[in-house]
Amino acid sequence: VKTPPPTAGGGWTALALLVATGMTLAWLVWTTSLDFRLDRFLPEPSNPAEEVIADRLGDSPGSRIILVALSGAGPEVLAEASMELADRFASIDGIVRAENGSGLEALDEHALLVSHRFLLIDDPQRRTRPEAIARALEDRLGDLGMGGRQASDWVSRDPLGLLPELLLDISPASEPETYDGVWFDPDLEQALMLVTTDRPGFDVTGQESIIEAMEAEFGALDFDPSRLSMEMTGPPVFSVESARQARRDAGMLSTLAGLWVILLLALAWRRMSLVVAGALPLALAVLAGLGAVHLGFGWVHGLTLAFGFTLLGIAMDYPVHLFSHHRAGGGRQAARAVAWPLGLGALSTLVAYGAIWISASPGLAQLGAFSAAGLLVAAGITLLILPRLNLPAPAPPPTSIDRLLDGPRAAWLPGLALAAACGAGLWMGSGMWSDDLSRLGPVEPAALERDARLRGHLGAGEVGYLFVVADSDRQRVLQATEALTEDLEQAREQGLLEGWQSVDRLVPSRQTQEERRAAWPDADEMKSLLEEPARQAGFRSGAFDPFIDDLAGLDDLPLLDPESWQDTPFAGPVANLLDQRDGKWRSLVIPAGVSDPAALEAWARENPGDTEYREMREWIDLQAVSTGMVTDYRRDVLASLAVALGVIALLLLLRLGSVKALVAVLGPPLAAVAITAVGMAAIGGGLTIVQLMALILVAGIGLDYSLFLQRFGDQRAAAARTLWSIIICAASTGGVFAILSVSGIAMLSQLGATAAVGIVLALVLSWIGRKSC
Amino acid sequence: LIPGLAGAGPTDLQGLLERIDTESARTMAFEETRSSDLLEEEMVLTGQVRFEPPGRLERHVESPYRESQIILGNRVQIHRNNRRIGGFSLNRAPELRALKETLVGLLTRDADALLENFEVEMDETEEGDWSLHLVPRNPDVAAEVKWLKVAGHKDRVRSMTIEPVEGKRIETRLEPLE
Repeated sequence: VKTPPPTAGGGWTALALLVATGMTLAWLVWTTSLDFRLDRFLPEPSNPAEEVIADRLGDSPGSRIILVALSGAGPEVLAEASMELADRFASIDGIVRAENGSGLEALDEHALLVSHRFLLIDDPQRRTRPEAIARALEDRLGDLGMGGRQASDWVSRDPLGLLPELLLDISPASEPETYDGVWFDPDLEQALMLVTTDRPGFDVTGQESIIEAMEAEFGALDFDPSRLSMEMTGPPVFSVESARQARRDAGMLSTLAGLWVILLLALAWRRMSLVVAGALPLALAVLAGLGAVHLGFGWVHGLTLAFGFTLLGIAMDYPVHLFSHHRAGGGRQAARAVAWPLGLGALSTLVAYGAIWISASPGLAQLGAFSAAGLLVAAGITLLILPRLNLPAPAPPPTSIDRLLDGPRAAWLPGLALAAACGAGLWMGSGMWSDDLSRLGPVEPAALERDARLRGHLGAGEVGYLFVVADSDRQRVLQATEALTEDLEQAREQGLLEGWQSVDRLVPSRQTQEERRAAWPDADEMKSLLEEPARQAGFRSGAFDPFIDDLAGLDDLPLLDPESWQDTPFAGPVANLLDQRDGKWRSLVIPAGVSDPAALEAWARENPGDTEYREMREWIDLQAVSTGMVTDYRRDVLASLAVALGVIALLLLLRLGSVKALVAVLGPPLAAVAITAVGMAAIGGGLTIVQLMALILVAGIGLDYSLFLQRFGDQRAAAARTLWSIIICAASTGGVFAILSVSGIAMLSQLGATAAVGIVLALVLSWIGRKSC
Repeated sequence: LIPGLAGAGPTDLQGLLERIDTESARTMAFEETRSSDLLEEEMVLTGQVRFEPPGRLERHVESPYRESQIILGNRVQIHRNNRRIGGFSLNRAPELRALKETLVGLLTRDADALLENFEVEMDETEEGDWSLHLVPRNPDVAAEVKWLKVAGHKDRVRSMTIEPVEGKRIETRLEPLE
């Protein structure tokens, strides 16, 4: 009987569809700006401590700051370069401020600080005692003796030296080294600068244009660029670098993976039209996933796109299963044959992704949505569209498959392996999991170290510990902050910390400002207080009239609010330390120079403060809180997955009809997952959430293998085709993940390695547990 | 009897420098008068100047306030009342830079360095009084300092005068401390 030769028409239709899908996809990916913030993968914060964590990972004012270090020349040259660069940077669109320490010298830029110095400085009584005045005037003689053009102006306006003290107070807690007025590292090898952008942390494109503009300005400097070098770090730089790396990796790795799959399938099937058609479910799945995420979320996380790769795996498997059951005469009979194992596998995987979808973290929800939508479309295309394309049958399996079918068989082994792996997992206990968020971070440890070092030099302390003061009433928050910093003064005396950053230095509570205003002598009193010490120090009478005039205006001075600092160099620091969230005001007090955090924490416990403010104050160990968040969250995900597993088991039981059959189907994938989990945990120091996702994927893929082998395993010809098809699946998918595991992005490489190992194990265990034929 | 000011050549200047007792001039007491519109009278600063070859110059003010300026190479560190109040390069303190270049040139007997930094005029009487009149060549320094004068008798350095572009003349009397 002659069967009509399959026409090439199916292949061409598939190719046209594929090209169209590919182009749409390329356009979508190209125009999507990726988000790499880790906070998206955390549950919504539920208390102030968690909010702080989420902010720090997300779009806090700190996430908009770029640290710049210039090196490669002597300090004089570096200082000059720093001044010129600061000017140039300040004119770049999107840069709010470029600070290098020199701003603190140009006092006339700080009109508000000058006018409100009487309200900002603490303890006016102490400063107006005769001996304090005498000491201050002696210092002013020193200012005059030092010379300089503006010296006498400042001495006459500020004889008590309030401004230098204020500037010292509000500068970062541990003072950076300065040289020629510019911030330096202690060895005077790097001139340091802080650049604040107005682009939110997730606006990678915006940040990138700023960073490129900064690089261009540096290149345009009049200094010998071969000697001078500029280093940038900080969250915006990290996200831009991650995005660049992701783009590079995505380009190179997906090309490699694509080539691998095409080569493999072309060799196995010897039909190019099948290879082309086989790519259709995958391409449309990624398209559907991205579309769903765009519609549902409006933003796309880098990790979600990376999971497009995982779909590359599971969606690639579907047509492989289908095609291997193609007999001459078309695909519809094959579709009928594979419909239930494929449908059941897809349904199970959908249940698992659904469980992730409803999880508490927007990032994971997105991932679940992406995968679920993609999977549904891939299964649909495979079962409904591909069979209608009039495609040829693939080359038959090689004869060596028979040897594999005759090879050893041990239906009990997957169960035993599962039990053993679970035992090992229990024995490892908490060692099974890693809750260290930084392991997922896209930033290399060396870059983080460099960042931390620069921050240390600047005293911009990215410390792991801080106090949060929160209340619905802003003035109460400010008062409680003042009470806290007053207490901290004692801790400083005990040597527990060197200083801190807090908002009360720039925005004292209104009550405190009123008290200070009242405590200053009036102009006439001040005049007479100054008279004798001034005469003794040699100042002529009337030398301090500008100061007296300022003091005379004190009664009419409006009190300072956080808003007062808008459009000044201090707007950033104020916003960083005091903000409003969900109707609650929150002030952060960030300690600096803490040598023994445990001792400071103990102090904080023993000194909870005034009963009035006690409830509002909280000590936060960021590392502990973030670890706790990840732990809670992983428990949530595991719990939903346990429920999902129950639902899947029930579904399978309904279809398979017996517990024995259920165990035979579920044993191999679960054992593969368990062994991989224990092995990867042992190697990598605990499983991360990304690895957990990879394991879910392994379960889905492994379940398909197992379902197919159990479904077709008892008829020899069908068993040979099925085993061949899952070998092709494992080689293509496993290969893709192995390629992914070399990525420089930690999340991707963890995902790749875990999935690749799991897939190979799933194949081996499904084979070992197969039916006899 | 009194020869007029004359441009000093390297040999004349070197000859004068050779006669100065640089050993005893390494630590000198100073008394400096400064004036300011804010002060009733001129302010008299007293203290010590110390030179440690090859390039460390310390200036300690002891009265009417306490302050140390330590100049090392091109850098100066300032401590007042035992508190560090800043560090900067001499580029930003032209007056201090002129003072340092003069003293170090003198005390290391480096005529070439002096001639490189200043236009030097020399004056010497038969009684052994001598003076150097120095006009800064560097434009940054010249923008702040019109001229300096160092005067002495025989092997001793006795005084320094700085004439700033703005403000009043600063007179410093120097006296070896041994």
